[in-house]
Amino acid sequence: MSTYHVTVNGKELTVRPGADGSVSLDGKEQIHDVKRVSLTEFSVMIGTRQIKVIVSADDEGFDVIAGDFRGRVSVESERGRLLRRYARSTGESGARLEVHAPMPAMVVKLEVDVGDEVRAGQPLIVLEAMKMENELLASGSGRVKAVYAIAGKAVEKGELLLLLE
Amino acid sequence: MAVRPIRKILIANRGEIALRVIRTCREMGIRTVSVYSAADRTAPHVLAADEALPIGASPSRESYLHTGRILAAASASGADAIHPGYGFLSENPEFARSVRDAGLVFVGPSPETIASMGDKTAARALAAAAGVPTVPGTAGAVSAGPEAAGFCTRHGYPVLVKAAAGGGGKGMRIVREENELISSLRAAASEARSAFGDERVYIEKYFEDPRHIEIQILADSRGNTIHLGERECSIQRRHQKVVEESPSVIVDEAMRNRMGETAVMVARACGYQNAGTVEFLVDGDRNFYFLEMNTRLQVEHPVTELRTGLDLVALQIRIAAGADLPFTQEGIRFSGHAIECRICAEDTENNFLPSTGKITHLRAPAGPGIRDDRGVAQGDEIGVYYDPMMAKLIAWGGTRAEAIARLVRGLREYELLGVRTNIPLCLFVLTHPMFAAGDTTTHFITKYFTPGTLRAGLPLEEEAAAAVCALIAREMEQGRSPVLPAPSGHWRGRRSDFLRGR
Repeated sequence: MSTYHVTVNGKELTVRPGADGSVSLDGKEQIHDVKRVSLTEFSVMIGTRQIKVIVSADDEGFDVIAGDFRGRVSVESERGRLLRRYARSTGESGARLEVHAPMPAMVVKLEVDVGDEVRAGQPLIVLEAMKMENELLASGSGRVKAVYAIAGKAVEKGELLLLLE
Repeated sequence: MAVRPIRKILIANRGEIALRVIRTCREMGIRTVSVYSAADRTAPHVLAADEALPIGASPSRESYLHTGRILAAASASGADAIHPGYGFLSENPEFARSVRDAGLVFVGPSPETIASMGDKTAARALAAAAGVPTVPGTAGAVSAGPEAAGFCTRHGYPVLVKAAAGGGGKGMRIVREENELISSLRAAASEARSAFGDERVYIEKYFEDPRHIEIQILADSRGNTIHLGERECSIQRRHQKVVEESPSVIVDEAMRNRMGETAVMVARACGYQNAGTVEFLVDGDRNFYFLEMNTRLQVEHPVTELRTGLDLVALQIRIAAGADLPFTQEGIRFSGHAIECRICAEDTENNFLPSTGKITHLRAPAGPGIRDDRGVAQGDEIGVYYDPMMAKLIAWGGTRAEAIARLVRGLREYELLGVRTNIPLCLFVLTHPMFAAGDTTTHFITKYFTPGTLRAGLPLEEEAAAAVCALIAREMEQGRSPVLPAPSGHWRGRRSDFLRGR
């Protein structure tokens, strides 16, 4: 039976989906009656509580509405977790901070240059999307190693904009 | 002015407001023409129209802001009139003039009126000359020099630096201390230059905890000018309205009459014709000061429609065609309470970053007292080119409490996935005890909201979400999931990628 580590609202649950709509949570034999209503809609019974769950998958996880809960849910398989631990222990480059575009946008302004020392929270790049300007702030301190973003150019979501070390 | 029949209207806009105008046109037997950018070929405003014409590439500048192409579309389709909606070219006097020069009816005030109210310092001067109280401010645009410093010393800090050509919070800066003044003036001027192509800024006294209350007016070509009461729009985030309601909890009948008469004075002073809105700032002692006049239909106009039973778009079209207002001030009846909230593609939990993507699931609320003014449909792509506002949800109730309860119920019913929305923020505001108490000032959100307040545990719901997501993850691993995003989307790499749980 496959095991998944599910993160929802900052909490991690260990989930084992069983056969025919039953699911065990955190090792407890807590049986849920999960019925699929459409491609993306489910009805989950917990005792007599009925919770409608609607799910959309994207490349970063799931966007979920479950009753009054709205938020992101991420899922990691047992195998995926082992692989990730292994990758970490074999040592990825540690002290580098990559700054990626959080959304498709236009680069309005570069606030830093190669060689600049930056503190956490300092503005690095101003992006414009949907008429709003948004500052990308440094998540840690360091020195600007490379700047890939060009003012006036469009960037895709996830594109590497800047490298700190 | 003679009544001039309007048989076909081109709507120079997109999204929910284009649909709103199309609906009224249908009811009036007027044919509708939509225009669309490359990104909008299958957008809801195109699908709802009788005719549709392309007007260029996706960036607004090359399409919805391109006067020449819009006029060419009007001519090609044989439209009699152009409705500009809000935003885009709606408050651009050159556009209104070009429409008139092309022999078409512009559904809105004259280019001269738009110009006189578009310059915010000129509008303030005009209102002051008409005897309307204005927020103390510099007489005109100021540079970073002694005149600016002198005004601030006389009236005291804090002050607000604003763009003369401004709107929407761009080029706006609060200055709390003298040593911040010069740098703020420069920063605001630079922001104003890039946003409006006009770097002039002026200074106003800044009120710490004001309310934003506006009056809807209507004026016909014979000079009949009336008001339709107030809308309170104090709940804002970064100067963008989030929740709007009518009546305001602090406005009684006497104050409504005083504010309404004042708004009518402003409208008369600038020779206003058509629907417009006069905005006021209201201080803690219920004194009101003229802020500016918006010479177009407002986003929040449905609030007034629900409370008066009138169709503002129909009245705009009738006035533009030269008809008289069909009623006087005494004929206006207010009923119940209406509240609107704006549903935007932004991530409430992640500093309100704009959210883009494909709407994978959408079911809007319905039921008693709910109005769904929406410009997006399931399957639509929310891109970077246009405003993040996707829809408005408006509730009417016999009392304020009933309107709040209905809007909260509607927001809880709202099913929209694929992009993040500000629905959690709207629910936060509407269920807050201070909102129920009517403590609605422009600082409500900065005062009370932190993303942490959204993280109240819903253990059963979270378990249900986890169970379903694990089931789908298993389907994906087994390569038999129907929920996989379409390959045309932003899906990259292999199926197992997302299982790493970034």
